Amino acid sequence: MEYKKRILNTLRTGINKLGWDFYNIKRNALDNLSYLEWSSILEIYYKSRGREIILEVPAHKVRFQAQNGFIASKESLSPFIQAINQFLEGVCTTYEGSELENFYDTYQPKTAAEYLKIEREESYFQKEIPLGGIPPWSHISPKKHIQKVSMNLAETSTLGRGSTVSKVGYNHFGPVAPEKGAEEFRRLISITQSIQKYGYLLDPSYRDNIEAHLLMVGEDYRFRVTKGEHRVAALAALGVSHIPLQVKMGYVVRREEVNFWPMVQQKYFTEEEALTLFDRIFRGQ
Amino acid sequence: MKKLKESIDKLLKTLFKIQITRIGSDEYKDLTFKEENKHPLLILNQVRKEGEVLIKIPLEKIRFQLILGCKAIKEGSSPLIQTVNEYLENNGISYRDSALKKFYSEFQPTNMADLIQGNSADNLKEVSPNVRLLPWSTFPTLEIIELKQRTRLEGYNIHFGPLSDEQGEAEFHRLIKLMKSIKESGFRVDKNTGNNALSGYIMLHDGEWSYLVRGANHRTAVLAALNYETALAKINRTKIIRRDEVEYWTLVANGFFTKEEALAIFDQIFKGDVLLKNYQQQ
Repeated sequence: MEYKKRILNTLRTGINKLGWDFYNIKRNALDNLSYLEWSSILEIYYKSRGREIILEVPAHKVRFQAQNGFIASKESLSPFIQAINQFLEGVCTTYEGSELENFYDTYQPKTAAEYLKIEREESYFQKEIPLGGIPPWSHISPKKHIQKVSMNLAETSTLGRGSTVSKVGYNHFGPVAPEKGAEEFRRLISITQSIQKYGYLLDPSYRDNIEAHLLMVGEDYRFRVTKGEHRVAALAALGVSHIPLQVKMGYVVRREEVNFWPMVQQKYFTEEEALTLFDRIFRGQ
Repeated sequence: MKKLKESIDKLLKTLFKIQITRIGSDEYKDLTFKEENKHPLLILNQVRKEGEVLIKIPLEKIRFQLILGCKAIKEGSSPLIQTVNEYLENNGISYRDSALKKFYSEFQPTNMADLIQGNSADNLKEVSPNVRLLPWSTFPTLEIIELKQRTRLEGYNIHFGPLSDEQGEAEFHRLIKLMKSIKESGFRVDKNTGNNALSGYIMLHDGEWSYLVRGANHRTAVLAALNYETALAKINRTKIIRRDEVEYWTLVANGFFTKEEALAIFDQIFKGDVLLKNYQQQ
């Protein structure tokens, strides 16, 4: 064992000198895709020590759709879930006339402040576009966030190369172009049908599971989804009691550490505004 | 060219389960170097969730030699620091005349309870002091701890005596050799990869923090004896120990330590130089 380690270290020093490095891709996985039995989230935090884990989390403890912070349950106000519910019940099978279209038509914040529900007149967010409405624990500034999301959309959108956020809109609020709305709707329905047919499948390489991070108040917790919102909506609409989340347990946003949150430090949010937003997401309001 | 790289990547991932990346590239998420002198929580919150951050930690915040919780300062109670101090002051001494030899001869805990200041719990009196576990250690199940205890009973531990003269000499020479190297060439850390940097746990209590080094005891002792003010160390979101979460620490949750024992260990490390100062004053 010691011998192996020495060879690996020598090899690493050698390739480091050439400007490269390597790491074991499986080192972060705590357990090869088997769900971890757990009762206390803090116990899991200390047990997992930074390795990726898959947890089955009660659906009512899951929040998604960014700062809207909807609850991931069948009865949720999430337009994603409501649109799938309508489809499953046969009430509405197209984007036109769906709750999703209604959401994009009626929920159109003019500024990031309106999206974040910040009323303070001198707030930076009053002059920022809604896409700049980041959470106070974000490590990147509103401008960088806008840049990042815009680039991602330009690279990944199925609507063609010219589909910028300013042209087609963003999926967490309106307005969106009709083709963008229809694309979101199609994605939701196709994922729901796939789960109905094959069940929910985990990615064994840990690269494409639903990802989330932890929000904590004392010992109470919620998981905030950062990747896989459509899948969460589909699972919730299908009425699952637990949602499988891939979680890196080190990343925890603790309410009592509000003064350490980067966007509070950088004065984008007051502590009170940051806590109000945290609480709203935590409660799923 | 891109396709060739993708094929090589795929081959390495499949055969060896490793990913190769160019240091500093977007894919290289392992390490970020932060120069500023701020609370580690502030620094960690500024970077994305993956990987580690390399920062300069004031030596006064550092604790080392695990459960002994020695302070990394020149006047500290660590026999490793005292030995380097003696060596520097006298232009060389032998192991026989060193603080290290004296320490190994005199400080010989017979059970784990002896390593916890003021602890009188009976259950730890039956545990070998060589079981080098902290209440927040990650991996062990109770079975592993028992195995570790059995196999280590006959072994030795450089953190306290008894230690044979041969092993003590080896420790002494390792320490002095390292001191000469750092004195001559400085404490060299690769800021791109973090190689040679200290690594350990951030301990948090009541807004205050300390940094407990895992391994690297000789390096830490030498830096303290050479009067370094800061050391480059790796921090990580996943290695933060909060005192008020004691009941969830792995070895408290599985019943190996009681809450009181675990807190006593945390406190003696957090405060620093509690155990050995007490022994040295006796």
